[in-house]
Amino acid sequence: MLKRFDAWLDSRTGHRALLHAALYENVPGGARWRYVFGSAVTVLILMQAATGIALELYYSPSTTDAWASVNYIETQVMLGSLLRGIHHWGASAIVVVVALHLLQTLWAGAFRAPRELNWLAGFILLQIILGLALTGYLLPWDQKGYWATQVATSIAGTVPLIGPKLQTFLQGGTSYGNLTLTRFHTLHVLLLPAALFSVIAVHVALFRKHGVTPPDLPAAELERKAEPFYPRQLLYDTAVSAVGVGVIFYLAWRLGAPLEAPADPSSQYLARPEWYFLPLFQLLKYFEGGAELVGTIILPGVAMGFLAGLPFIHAVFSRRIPNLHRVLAGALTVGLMGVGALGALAVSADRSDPAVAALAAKAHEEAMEARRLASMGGVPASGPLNLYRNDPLVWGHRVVVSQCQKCHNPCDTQPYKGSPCLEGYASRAWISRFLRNPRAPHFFGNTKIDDMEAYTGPQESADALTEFIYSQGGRPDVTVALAKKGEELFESEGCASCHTLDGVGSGLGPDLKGWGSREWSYAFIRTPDATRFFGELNEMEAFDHLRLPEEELQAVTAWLHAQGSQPLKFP
Amino acid sequence: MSEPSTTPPTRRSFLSALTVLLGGAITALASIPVLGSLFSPLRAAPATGAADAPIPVGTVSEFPVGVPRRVELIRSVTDAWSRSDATTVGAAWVTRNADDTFTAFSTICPHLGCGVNLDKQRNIFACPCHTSAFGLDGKFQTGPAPRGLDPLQVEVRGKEVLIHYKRFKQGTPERETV
Ligand code: FES
Repeated sequence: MLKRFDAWLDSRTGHRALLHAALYENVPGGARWRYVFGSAVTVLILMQAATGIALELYYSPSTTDAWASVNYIETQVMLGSLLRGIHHWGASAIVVVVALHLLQTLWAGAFRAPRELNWLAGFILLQIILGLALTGYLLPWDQKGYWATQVATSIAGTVPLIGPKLQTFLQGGTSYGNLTLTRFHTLHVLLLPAALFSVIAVHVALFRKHGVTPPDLPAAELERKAEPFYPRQLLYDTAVSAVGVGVIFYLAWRLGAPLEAPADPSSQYLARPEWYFLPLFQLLKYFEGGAELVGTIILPGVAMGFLAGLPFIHAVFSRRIPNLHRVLAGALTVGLMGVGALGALAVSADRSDPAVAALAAKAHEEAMEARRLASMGGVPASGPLNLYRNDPLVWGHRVVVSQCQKCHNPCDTQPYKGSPCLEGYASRAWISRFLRNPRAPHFFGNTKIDDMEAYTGPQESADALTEFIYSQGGRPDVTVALAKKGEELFESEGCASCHTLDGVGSGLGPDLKGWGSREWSYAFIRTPDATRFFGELNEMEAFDHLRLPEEELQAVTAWLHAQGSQPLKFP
Repeated sequence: MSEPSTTPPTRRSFLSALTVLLGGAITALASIPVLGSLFSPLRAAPATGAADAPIPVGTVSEFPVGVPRRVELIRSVTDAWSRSDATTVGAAWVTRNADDTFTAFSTICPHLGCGVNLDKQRNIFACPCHTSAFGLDGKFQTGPAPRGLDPLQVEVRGKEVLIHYKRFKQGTPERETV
């Protein structure tokens, strides 16, 4: 039945001859492991195409939506993070295997006549692949893509004469925006893949025409060892591809693909390209004052020109220099190693720079924060940057850093020399530690306030007192019975001799009614020297609405209130 | 391939020339709208008055004297088809001088456009990308940047500080707005 169908199909399509031609191609000298790279790249490219199409189902190319849609893929789409991970690591893997493929054909001398045009086709494929890599990482519109790609398009802008026009053309405007994304998106998913597959067709057809470049063995030897592509070579190819795919899956599963915080044009981001562009990045550092073009365009251009022109250089000089192809292969390999060394330099420069580590840590924190906010009900339609602006905690934190931390240093400053530090403020841990040692450096140790005595009663009572004071902040998780007990102790243990609970205060110690609540903090920050608070003892500056506008203060009090459920950040 | 003998050679070349011509016409016709839209961003952008209005960044007393403070520049922006009413278009390092005048620099590095940082220890502006450094007065010190930081015009209206935001072309010694 199947046989008859096959015969019928063959008479209509001629597929048997096609399959035969594909599988029984003669491999002079026999199957070899080093012939596998071309097939492996093809397999990886097909995997990129498949994962790319799947990603495309969820991706939305606009400045307001791109980051949100990628974050959606990461968090909501089933297996989405794995999918994106594969696409991400697949890109890196392709660059690696392409480099191996290039080295292999280089050392086999496959660029020599009659295969010059196939070398050129391969060169074009390399450019297309680099183009795909470059256009790809802008698409999430996160900090990394945004800043690293800026550098690339700015380089285009430095080209003599046409530079500025070229940059505007690529960006779709004078600055980055929606049209930049739609352009890069079109390049990445339509134009470049179409070009890639067309040139691959030419590359493979030419390869089929000329066959593999056999090793330097006597013809008889090659003849004797010759075998068809199927089954051994095909198995080798498939085995190596399988290993590659396995590695990619492993990396995608363990590490996933990075997604930085949403692109923010006002931020200082550590712009670093993907690893395969690091050598170019490093090159930019060396050429100063008008010589930038050397690093941005001339040197890379010369290197690429040499690569493309290899067959023709060989044709011109091969008669005079014996074994020229080996010399050329050696030169190119050394060049490639130099490129690798440049990349390594870039990495080591970053490793030894503490400022870089700090920026990277900050970027990571911001990324986590953005994704946390996005997980609380999605990204605003007005764009992911408004995640921060609408979130009083994030905003409050910014204000605290810029306004409050001048005196109330971050808790992990060492040694601690500031006013009471605020991380974890009014949490149970904060209160109970404070009761036991109010003069500790993280509390009032660095201020003139030394009237408060440490509480030395039993732990049980301390816990009850803590709970009572904690309950003043209007917290949902108060243990009422314990707080009641604490309220009684408040009288009997003598707290009440300085602290009132009437919301008016005595001027001896802060009134504790509602202590730690937003209202209390709000009033305190505006008038810390009121009798309700520290009165004459006060050392803190008052923040009127000029120094701290209404909305900023609201954000700060929201942040302070939220500290009640945060851990302390000091030992 | 055998030629149909009914067609005389001159007529044959005429027919093929006609075919090429018509094919060319199809290509040319289809190219017109494609190329036109492709190059659309190169047209000079229509001037929008609102976009050039100075951006308020705070009141005078909010700026400490002598220490650069980073401000975000937020205004309404129309990006192609979408308008957002409060969008960060960039940032500036603003310093209040002793005589209450202000100096401001765009945070965009004149080399290739990264965001420039304030290095408090060394009292310079440092670019995290290719290690360009600038003095607090914006003057170029070291690195691949072709010029100093780009100054922005600051206007003080009563107590309010406003910045006239501009973007400059990167990578050139002379300063050109884009
Ligand atoms: S972008 Fe600032 S040094 Fe290159």
